[in-house]
Amino acid sequence: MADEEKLDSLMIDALTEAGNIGAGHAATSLSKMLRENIMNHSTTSKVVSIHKVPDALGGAEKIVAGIYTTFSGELTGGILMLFPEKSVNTISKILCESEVHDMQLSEMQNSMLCEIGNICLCWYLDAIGKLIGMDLIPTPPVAAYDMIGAVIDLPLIELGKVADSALVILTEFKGEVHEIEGIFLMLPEPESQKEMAKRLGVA
Amino acid sequence: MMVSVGIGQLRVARSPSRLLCLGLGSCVAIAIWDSSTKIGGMAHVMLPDQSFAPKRLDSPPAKFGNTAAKALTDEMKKAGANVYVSVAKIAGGANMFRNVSPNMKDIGLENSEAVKKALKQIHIRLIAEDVGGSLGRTVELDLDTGKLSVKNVRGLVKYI
Repeated sequence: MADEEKLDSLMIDALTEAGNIGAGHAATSLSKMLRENIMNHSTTSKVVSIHKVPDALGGAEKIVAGIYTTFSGELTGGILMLFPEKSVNTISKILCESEVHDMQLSEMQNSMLCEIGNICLCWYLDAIGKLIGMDLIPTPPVAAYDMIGAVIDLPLIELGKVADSALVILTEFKGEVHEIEGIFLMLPEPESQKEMAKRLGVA
Repeated sequence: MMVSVGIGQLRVARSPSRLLCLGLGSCVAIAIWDSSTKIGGMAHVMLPDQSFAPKRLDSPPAKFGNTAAKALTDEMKKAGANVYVSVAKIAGGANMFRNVSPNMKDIGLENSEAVKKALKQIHIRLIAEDVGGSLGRTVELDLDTGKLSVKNVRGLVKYI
């Protein structure tokens, strides 16, 4: 099973560092958008069975806004930003002067999240692309506000087409002043994991 | 005891346990229940069939709509259930993201259709369903009564 071939720890470290650099650029662009200093915790990576991914993100029933983009080109995979309930409200107050009512995003809030995702995730992918000398082409992002399990399930379905386990590359971020927190999450497909590692000189 | 069924998995249990799938999006939960033994099973289906994952033909049958129900009833039989009198309920298959680009098909709809077709093939009667829409669901099967509760993100609960 090609998918189960273990990535060695050196390869995982290299991919984690790539994620860290991507998330750094994404956080800088988020800071500019929100006029708030957004700081990243260090990036962590782990390989887990696909069914364990929701738990690795804090539990399937936790409510989040998720923005999801896939990338194609020379490498393929999914990339997401997740914001917990309170942070969605904070951001919406800053950018849309409104809060989320009845657990339902307005058109404006949905567009706002897609645009945040568009900018941040493009920066994330662009930084990694430069690092490895490849073009990673993002699709237009989509957003949903729901239980984490439901938000992450389309990304996991996409990954499930080629894998039964996931390499979860995760970076938590936090605002300095306002209550804003969330995560950047990359789920590269198995062959892309190896190709990335090769480009980073560890495979 | 609560028995949680993760994405792409299946589990069988007996009353007074309860089977649940947390946060279903486009995935579909199949709940099959035998009233005579109060044994039930639940599968958390990800993809309609193996043609969606040609590189993962070794994935467990519970991952796919066309094979999950059969695998589930096989496990129920092993546990002592009478599958010929068992009934099925399904929930899930939502389309979570607005403005999904055209190259991403409505996988939720395809999942629920594949599951229904497979149930028909193995002659398990589908007696209730709550599928489609754009909201996630948490479902829980009470193995004492066969009731399936379906809860969405807005806290709305219905029993099917």
